[in-house]
Amino acid sequence: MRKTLLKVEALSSGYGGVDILKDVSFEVKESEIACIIGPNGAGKSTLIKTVYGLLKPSAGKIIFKDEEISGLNPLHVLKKGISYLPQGRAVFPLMTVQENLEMGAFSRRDAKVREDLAKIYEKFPILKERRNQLAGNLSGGEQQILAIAMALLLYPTLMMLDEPSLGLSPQSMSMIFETIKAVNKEGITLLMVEQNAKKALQLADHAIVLELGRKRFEGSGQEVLANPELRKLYLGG
Amino acid sequence: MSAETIFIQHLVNGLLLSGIYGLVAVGLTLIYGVLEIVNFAHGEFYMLGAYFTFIASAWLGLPYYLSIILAVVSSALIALLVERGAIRPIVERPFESKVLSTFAISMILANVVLLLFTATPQTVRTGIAGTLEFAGVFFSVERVVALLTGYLAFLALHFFLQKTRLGKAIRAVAQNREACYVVGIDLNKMARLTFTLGIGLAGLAGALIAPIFSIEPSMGQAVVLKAFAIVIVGGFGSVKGAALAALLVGLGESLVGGYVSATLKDGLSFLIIMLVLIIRPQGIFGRTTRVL
Repeated sequence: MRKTLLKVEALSSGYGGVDILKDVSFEVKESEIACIIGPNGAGKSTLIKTVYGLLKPSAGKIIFKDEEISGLNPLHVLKKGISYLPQGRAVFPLMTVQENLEMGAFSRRDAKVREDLAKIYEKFPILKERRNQLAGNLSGGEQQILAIAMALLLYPTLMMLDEPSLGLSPQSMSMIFETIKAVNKEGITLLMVEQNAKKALQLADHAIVLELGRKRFEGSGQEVLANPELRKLYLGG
Repeated sequence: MSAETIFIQHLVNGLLLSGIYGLVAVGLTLIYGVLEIVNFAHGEFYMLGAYFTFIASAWLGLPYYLSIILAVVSSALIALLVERGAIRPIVERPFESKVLSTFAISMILANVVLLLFTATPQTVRTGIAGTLEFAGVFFSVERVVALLTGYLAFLALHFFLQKTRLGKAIRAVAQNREACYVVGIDLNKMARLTFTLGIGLAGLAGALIAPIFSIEPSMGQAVVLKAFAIVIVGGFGSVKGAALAALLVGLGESLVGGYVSATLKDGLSFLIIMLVLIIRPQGIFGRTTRVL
């Protein structure tokens, strides 16, 4: 049995005193790919923003590596080993790829940064090719890979991604899902929100289905794909 | 004086004005880029820089270069207090709160100085008054010092923003706040740093101008309007744009004032705004993403 890495207990959260997420509980095990799916407004983004500390929970607990992290601010959550990639392109458009990666290591003060940058270039040759180009001139998929590479420089235990495939071409989309798989192979646990549920579920060890802020279903990706009712509701039949 | 001599003097005066306007405008544009606040109190910090120079030289008898340092440091310290008390609480608030808060800071600062120093203009004596002759043209030492220091500060700022870790972090915040959460850049810390830096530059501009023009509590208002014009022309949030627009406005004012009419020169910056807004509404370097 895999160990529990992240535990969300009866979590409620939202904006301006109005709860969008209501009483949601689930666990993410070490080294798995967990995926949150659900229609628009189901509270998917709210959920991971709350885990990262961008929103304060109105009730419930978030426990990471047996330690409560509810209510910590994002900088502290990041230090605990959780990274978060927001929706859209989390890169600095007017800096080069190289500068972006250097910014990725902004909070590091050790001497190994240079070595790690070399490793990143080895892992993502496309970034090496484009190292002197402005990040804003990369394709959507390349920007997303750059953002993932920036997050990797901080050695996260858990990486949370908010709609990594949003607005990408089908080709870039498979590139991103391949990258996500590769990141997971290195032992990094993933928690992602995806609108493109079919693709994400094929990848996911574990799926949480949200509807109107509540947990509607939880199981393996295959279980959701096999469930006719859920298929009809979220996967278009 | 020959026509050439006069032209060169107008040119040098124009460059000096450009440097001063540029220092004020670049702080305004940085603060806008990072804090998303239009700082209506910016001119008052320029005025404070001038008054701190007056205090340092007339009351404390410090040499001019020390007065400049004291003025910059004191303005920056006041900026730290103001950031804590009146900027941080409203940084997440809607636009109106930000406008009201910075307007309030502007009025408080201007009126405190009015109370302490009255509205009578003061002059700052530096002990470096005199003239330099260069190729048959005479320049006042104070103007040359102001010009060189202003441009040196600009170069230092450019280096800081482009090459240092903290400077890059400031640009990072202006380019994508969300991505700062990914890499762990502390937005509050960067806001404080940028506000203090921007105000320090305004304070420096005030300190440099103090010995050249007489100083008075309302001196910030005329300059901040021009700085706004420069920032709009250059594109809000763009340092490069602000530098270029400052050059345009400063040189333009000096040449129009010298050759056309002294009363027209103050209208020039606004004429330039109108033209730029008609031809290129986003400003010279303005883009949909912000530019730093």
